[in-house]
Amino acid sequence: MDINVKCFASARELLQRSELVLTLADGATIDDVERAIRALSPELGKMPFMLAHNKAYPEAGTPVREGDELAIIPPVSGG
Amino acid sequence: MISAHITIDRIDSWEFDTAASGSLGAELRFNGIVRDMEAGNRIGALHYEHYEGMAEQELRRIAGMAVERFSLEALHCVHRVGSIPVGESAVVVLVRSKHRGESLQALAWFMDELKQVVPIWKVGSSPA
Repeated sequence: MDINVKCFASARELLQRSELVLTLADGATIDDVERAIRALSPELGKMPFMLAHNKAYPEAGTPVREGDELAIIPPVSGG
Repeated sequence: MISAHITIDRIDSWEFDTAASGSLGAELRFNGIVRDMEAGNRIGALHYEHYEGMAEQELRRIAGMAVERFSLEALHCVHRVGSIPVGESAVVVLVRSKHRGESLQALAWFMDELKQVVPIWKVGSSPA
């Protein structure tokens, strides 16, 4: 299945795009999404980030489905 | 009572929709203001981006947690995004409680949480 992942701030700069598509096996979890993202580049492999799943922070092991909204959340800096 | 907003408009004098309450003993308003120095450079404005939908949702979530944790009467928050000139507010928080201690503690906790989980980023600056 194909999963769309939004990229913000430093993640967007690093990947030079605001969205990417990951192809994952059916039954994949949020942990598989993180592994696939970290495998995209050595910089991403080391970069601290959280993932958002349908605009919330998921628990480890949360299953993902085609059509879900995923996002890379680099360290935030609001306020 | 909680509220949370994200806006590109100026928020320095933002008026929250608050209701009168006889049990209210403390009201604390905090304006987080853009300073003229960032990473050692003099700047004219800071640029913020946010994850639309989630940023507001997370603000509301931690506002609710603060109300619960500190037994507040209310916590209202607005965060500005886009380009914010030096001297203008990036965030405004209004906390209300029966006693001052709860509001003071809640504000510190809320701002720390905001800086950990709310998907808003400083993404650059303009020179002075």
